[in-house]
Amino acid sequence: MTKKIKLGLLHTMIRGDEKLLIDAAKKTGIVLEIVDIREAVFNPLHHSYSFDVVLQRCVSTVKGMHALEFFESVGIPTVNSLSIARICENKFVTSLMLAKYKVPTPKFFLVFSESKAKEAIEQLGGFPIVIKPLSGSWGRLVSKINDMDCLESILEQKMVLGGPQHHAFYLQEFIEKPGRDIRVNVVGTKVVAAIYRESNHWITNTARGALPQSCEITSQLKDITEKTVAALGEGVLGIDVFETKKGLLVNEVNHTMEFKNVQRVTGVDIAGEIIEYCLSKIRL
Amino acid sequence: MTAICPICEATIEVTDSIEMSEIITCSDCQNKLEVKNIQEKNITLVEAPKVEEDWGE
Repeated sequence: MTKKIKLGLLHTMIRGDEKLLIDAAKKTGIVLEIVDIREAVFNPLHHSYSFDVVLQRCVSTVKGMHALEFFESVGIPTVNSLSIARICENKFVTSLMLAKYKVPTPKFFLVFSESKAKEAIEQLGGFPIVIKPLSGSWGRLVSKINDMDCLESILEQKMVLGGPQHHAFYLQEFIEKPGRDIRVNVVGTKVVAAIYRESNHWITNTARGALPQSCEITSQLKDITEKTVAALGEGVLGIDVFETKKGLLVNEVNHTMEFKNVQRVTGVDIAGEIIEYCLSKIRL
Repeated sequence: MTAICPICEATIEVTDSIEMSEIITCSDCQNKLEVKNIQEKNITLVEAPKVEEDWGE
């Protein structure tokens, strides 16, 4: 009797995206086990996980990353891979990789003091600039810094109120956007869908109220996305792209992408693509 | 199926495909709720966890 493929869906809550994945998995006839890792004990010497592949969908980045570390260490293939997750969960590391492989991206630097931040502002082309936490999402704790007074205030707040992670200042040039940015959805190495995220605010996350609209996958968009995947690695990725007068720039790469809005707006079965990709990662 | 909102005590309609740990919104008070237990047609809801700093994509 042929053994049925067993997929583990790791989560810390089931949202609309995970419901779409559950439905897509059920259509394939594989065995799906839904694992709330908040209840897990990750001990490599005492575990009974027997998945052929796991799909990591934890809304908590810390929990999700540790789950990936565990499953990789016990030899179970993961989506996404630990290597690309480690890159994407840190914005500075992502920027370093993009720069290393000459993928167009906003200018950036990292410093550990106010004085060094002030010295290096000109490297970003002067004010305004943007400060972001090294690990963060949904546009949270992202600030536009218009002048030196603002820079001093924000850095003081981070030093006094933030933990050590917030004492590493990741600064980026501010990019004037045309009232929108682009979210590209990649599965494996394939660009499966793209949306504009339209907003009058300079922060264009849908979590901050930006409205999704279908976006054509132009050759330029496909090209920069493929360069990004070649630089960072393949996976289930949400790539944020800015349109500028000088061309497209890759701002960030997300490794636990949300896609229910994209699926609704574009009609692309992203959940189905993700499940197929997971099955392709099974070691025979 | 129905469930009771733990915050406003409204009776909420839920789909038959409801999953453990699923996040739903109370149709009355609009609070986010998490499915804590499913036993036959008896569903227990709790207030959903609040957003934490490391949540996201």
